[in-house]
Amino acid sequence: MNEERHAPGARLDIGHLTGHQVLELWACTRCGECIKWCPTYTEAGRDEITPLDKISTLRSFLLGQYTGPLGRLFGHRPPDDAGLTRFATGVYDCTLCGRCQVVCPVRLRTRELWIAMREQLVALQRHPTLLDRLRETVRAHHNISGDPNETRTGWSVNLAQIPASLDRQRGAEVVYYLGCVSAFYPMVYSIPQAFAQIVEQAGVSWTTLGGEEWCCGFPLTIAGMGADAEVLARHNVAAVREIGARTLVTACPSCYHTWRHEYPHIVGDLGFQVVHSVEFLRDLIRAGRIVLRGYADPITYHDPCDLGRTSGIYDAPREIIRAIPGIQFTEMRDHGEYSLCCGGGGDVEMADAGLAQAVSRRRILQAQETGAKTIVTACQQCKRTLLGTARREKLRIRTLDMSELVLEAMRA
Amino acid sequence: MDRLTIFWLVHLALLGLFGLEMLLLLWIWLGARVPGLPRDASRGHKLGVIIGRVLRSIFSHRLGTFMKALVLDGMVHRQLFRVSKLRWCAHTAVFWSFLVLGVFSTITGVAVEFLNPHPEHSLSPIVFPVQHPIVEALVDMDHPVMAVLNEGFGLLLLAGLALVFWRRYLQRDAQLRTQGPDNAILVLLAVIVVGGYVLEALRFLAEGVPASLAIFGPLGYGLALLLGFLPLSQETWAGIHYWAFFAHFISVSLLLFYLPFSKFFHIVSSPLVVALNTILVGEQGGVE
Repeated sequence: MNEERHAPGARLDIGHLTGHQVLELWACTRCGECIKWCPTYTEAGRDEITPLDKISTLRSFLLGQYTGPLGRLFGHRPPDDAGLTRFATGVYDCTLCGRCQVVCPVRLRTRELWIAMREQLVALQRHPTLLDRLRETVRAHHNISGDPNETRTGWSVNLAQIPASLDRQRGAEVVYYLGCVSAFYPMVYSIPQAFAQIVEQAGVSWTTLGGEEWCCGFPLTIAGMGADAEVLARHNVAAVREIGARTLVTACPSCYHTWRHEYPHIVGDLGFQVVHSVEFLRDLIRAGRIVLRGYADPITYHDPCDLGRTSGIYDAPREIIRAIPGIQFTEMRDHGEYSLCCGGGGDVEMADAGLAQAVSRRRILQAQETGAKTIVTACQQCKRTLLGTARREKLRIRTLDMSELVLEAMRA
Repeated sequence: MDRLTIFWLVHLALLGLFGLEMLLLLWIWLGARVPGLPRDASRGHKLGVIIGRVLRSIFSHRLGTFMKALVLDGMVHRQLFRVSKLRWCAHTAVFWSFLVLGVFSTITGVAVEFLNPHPEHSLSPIVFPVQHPIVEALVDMDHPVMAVLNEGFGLLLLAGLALVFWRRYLQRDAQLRTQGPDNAILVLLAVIVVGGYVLEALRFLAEGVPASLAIFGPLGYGLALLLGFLPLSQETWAGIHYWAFFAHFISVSLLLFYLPFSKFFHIVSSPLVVALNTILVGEQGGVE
């Protein structure tokens, strides 16, 4: 974890938690089921990462802070410097994959709890310093990379034909929201490139927000800096409304979750529908607007955490895969609700890059166990993480986003 | 002052203390944010809104979903059953026997003090004597039905605790994390249940309960037979029983006193949380 600032005499603000979340802190049974499934604990083996430890630590801090001698009689202490440092390490060494939520016998809504804990730590200036840089970058450039935001359509330069409607075409029916990773990381430019070619062939009326696309705010929200995301939400929604589109499509599950489930809390009814690219592509296939011919290599599918567990979309990608004639598809040992994280979530890369890579490596090995030559996912961050790890570790497996698979299947 | 008078005075005082602890917890919880309310809303305002929302969620078309989750997930623990039959057995044995014994104790206390067909045995100034076989059974500790039920659920609790101890301390299950508070609560539960049997055996000896009745509490009776080999008079046993009663009572009171500050509070909160979260997840279409 990166260097942190220390605020002596820190007191946790319980106001970052909802009443329901505080009750959840008291409902944890410490059964340890979450430990078996925690991807970062599995790699790092440090107890402060475990969900039950984070919960009992926060509960103990709160009891020690508010109850005085009575709480201390039972071993509860108010937060001290060492305790807070340990707590912060555990809270930020979490990919927010949400597997603990699936296996929790009490169904604790852990992912929301971890984010609320991060908000508390940000308020105490106990978060990794790199996240401050992230916040400043997003504020200044409206994206996570710090590149000029006007270059968001840079990925399209290599297309054989740049679509005429690419940049802010008023009246387009569909807005394709790229997300920062697809827009600024050349490693995954192939995802929007594939999507653009598919929708062009399918005759979809579409456009992008060009330089008016701002970061959706998800990286800040999960960092515990959710208040900074509001201005981004208002701008983005206004930009889509200006186009007059009826549908917003994104290939990024985190952007999808933010648009679909967070933005309505901030701006009310959006006035257009939000779908993930796998849903959009599935509908094109169902409608016969694109035809899949085949894909030679055996494949497996990696459920992105924010698409599956967080947003509940498991069937659409599998429906697409099964629509490919002759496809050899095998599920991984951990799939669906129990899917293992790729390691790229929760801003862990910024807190502990080695840990993120270790999780990613395990996932690739799971994919290889199936005999697959290609691991397909539906997330640009998953692809970037898995591909990066495969290259660094010299693991021979091809990584494709669903849009790329569909395009290849169309061309077979 | 006789033993039961002291018991009731202290018990009521401890119940009051438990109530104060719960109020303190409530005060802490209400410092939290309530979505839709300003962060500086008063605790009273927050409480009113929370109660209203919970009641509206429960008493709606989702009542069936709520009750199903409360029973199947909060009390029968079906998810745990799917994961591990052994853990389910241990948890179910402890949870249900603890719950049933607690309910029995409360009902028995009410029957003895307020419905007792023999008002002279009650400490309460107001008694409404009820002549009914069930009340007769409740006020008679040696009634075969009550003895068998108490003994049976006590044994279930003992078996559950034995499994818990085996997993945590002998098998050392890798997913368990044992800290001071985990030890404290298990030791307290063990002291209560084992102490209960010792107390029962001492009462048999102190009161000279005939074997024909004592046999319905086989474990206590067996223990009494063993202790009976000691060369002590019935009067001495009565003295030991007097202090053993307070030791048992103190251990139960400690559990009550510790409950709001321990992980054991989940026996109250987790069934409610699992049922509420089931409704909330349902409302949001499977999304967190």
